[in-house]
Amino acid sequence: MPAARSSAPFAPRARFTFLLIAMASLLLVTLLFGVALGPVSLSVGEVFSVLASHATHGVTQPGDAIVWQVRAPRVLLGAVAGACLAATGVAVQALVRNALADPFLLGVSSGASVGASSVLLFGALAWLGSWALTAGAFLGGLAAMLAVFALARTGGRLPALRLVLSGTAMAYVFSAMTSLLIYLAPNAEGARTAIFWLLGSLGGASWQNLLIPAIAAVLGLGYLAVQAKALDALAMGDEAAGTLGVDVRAVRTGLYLVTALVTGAVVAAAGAIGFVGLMLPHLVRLLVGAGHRRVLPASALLGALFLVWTDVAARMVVAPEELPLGVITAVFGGPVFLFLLRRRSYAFGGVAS
Amino acid sequence: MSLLDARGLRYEVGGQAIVRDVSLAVARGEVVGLVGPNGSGKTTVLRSVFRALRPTGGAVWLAGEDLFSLPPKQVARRMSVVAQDSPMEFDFTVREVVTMGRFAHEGGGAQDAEACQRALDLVGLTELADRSVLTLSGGERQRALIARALAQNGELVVLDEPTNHLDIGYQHELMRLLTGLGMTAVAALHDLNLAAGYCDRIYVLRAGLVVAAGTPEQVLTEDLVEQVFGVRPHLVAHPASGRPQLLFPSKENP
Repeated sequence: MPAARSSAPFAPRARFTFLLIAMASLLLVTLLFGVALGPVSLSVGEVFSVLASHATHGVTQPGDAIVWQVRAPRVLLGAVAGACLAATGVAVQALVRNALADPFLLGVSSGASVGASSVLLFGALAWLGSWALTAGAFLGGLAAMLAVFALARTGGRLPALRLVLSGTAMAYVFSAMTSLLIYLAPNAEGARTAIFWLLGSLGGASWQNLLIPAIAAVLGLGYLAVQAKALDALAMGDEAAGTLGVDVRAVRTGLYLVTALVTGAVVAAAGAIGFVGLMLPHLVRLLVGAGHRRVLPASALLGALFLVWTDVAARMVVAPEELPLGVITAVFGGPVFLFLLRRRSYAFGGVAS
Repeated sequence: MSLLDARGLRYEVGGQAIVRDVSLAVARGEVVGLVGPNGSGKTTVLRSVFRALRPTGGAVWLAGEDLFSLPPKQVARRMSVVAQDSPMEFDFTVREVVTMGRFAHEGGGAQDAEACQRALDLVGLTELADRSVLTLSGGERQRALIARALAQNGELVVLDEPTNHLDIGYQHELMRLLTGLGMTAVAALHDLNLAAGYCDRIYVLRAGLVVAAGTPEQVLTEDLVEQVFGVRPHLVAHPASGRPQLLFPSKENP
């Protein structure tokens, strides 16, 4: 089919710039609506006036608690988490050259789950007070990251297949530990809380636990942006990338550590939100092609948009109860993705010519 | 001074020497062919030359500098590689793949775009520049990789069986391109007649050793080909160029 990509991508530069500006503007609007919508809905005007009076005089309006303390950090955490998961998903897929890879492949989220379950179910790290859950999850993720790194490394290299296999094996081990912890949970309510966390939720968002993911997002996504051309080259295989001038060992190690740390920071704050890191990169490649200098910024923006709206749905659908985010990302995102996949010719991981 | 100088290359895997002792030199402007039966070590020698593997013994000098002490980008600016069977899984356009050849070059996008366009023109892929590489035929894909190597704009091109997926027309077009641009190239080739027709010098490898080296006339004798490949050809001079060409046995003439 020669006309394979006639209607879309290799969009001229102007068209790509327009797309980015459109997505960024949409994100700003989305942030406002994300704060306004919820079980108790406010108008965008009310949100504005609460934010403005908070900025100028501190707490003055009755809506301040809901807007400033609850929803603003929550919406921002959603945007940060979505951007990070989608962009690290892009990087991990290039790192292991596998269409089914996502940021959780590296074992980080399953390690974080063990840490989080220990905190939620058995009161580990209680002395850390309100930081206990975040710290537990992050430490669990860090342990998993180091284990996978040590297992996958041979002779200073980090081969793609070994990385996938080590990550998958460690994920099984850690999932088993999490299941065991939940099974042994002293009370059913605790188990419910743990499972809710495992499926991802922005319910625990606060300005305090937004801080680390936000820093991780800026530094991590900055690093990925710098490595965009190297990611293109790595997608052609390590050997080819080496002949093109990429310092393959250094770049692969750097990518692994950065993606794992960013993922760890996000998972520690928001739980293991599935789907975003796996599917959004593919969705974005459908829109802008495979070049990482386009895919990375577009993924970050679309990831942020997607997760903020998903969280709005999580709050609204069965209000005042909340649904776990991971459930909504998969239930709504899956069919949308499959629909697009069937409509457009897209081939990652082989094509019928 | 040779542009590429490999001395005493040796490569062992699990106690088995795949390459035992290979030295080869490529002067500026020369097109050098590496021929030999399957498993003779051609690819291993080339992979040592482009640093995909580190030889167990010997040294490689590129323009007088120790190849293994140079930073990757510096090597990539001097030497480009067209490897065998490069995997393609991502939905890049042809132009994006060719642009990857500019990774090691600092400097402007305009300069990159110009180098890429020139490379696309040379291999005849300009019309397909915005197509996905996954929709290309094997030959077109190979030409995209050659364009990537040309865009890299190094002094030396290393090619591992570059004519593998090409039909006879493109095989000759590629060899004409290599020789016509005055490039320095070293290529592993399966087709002895292609090597005889286009290479300035030929190295013949067998079991990890160089068994003959020199101009096609010096190297490609009936005895040597029989000794190395186990099939005795009939040697003729090409009526137009005078270069040696080999005719192989047929049903009537076993």
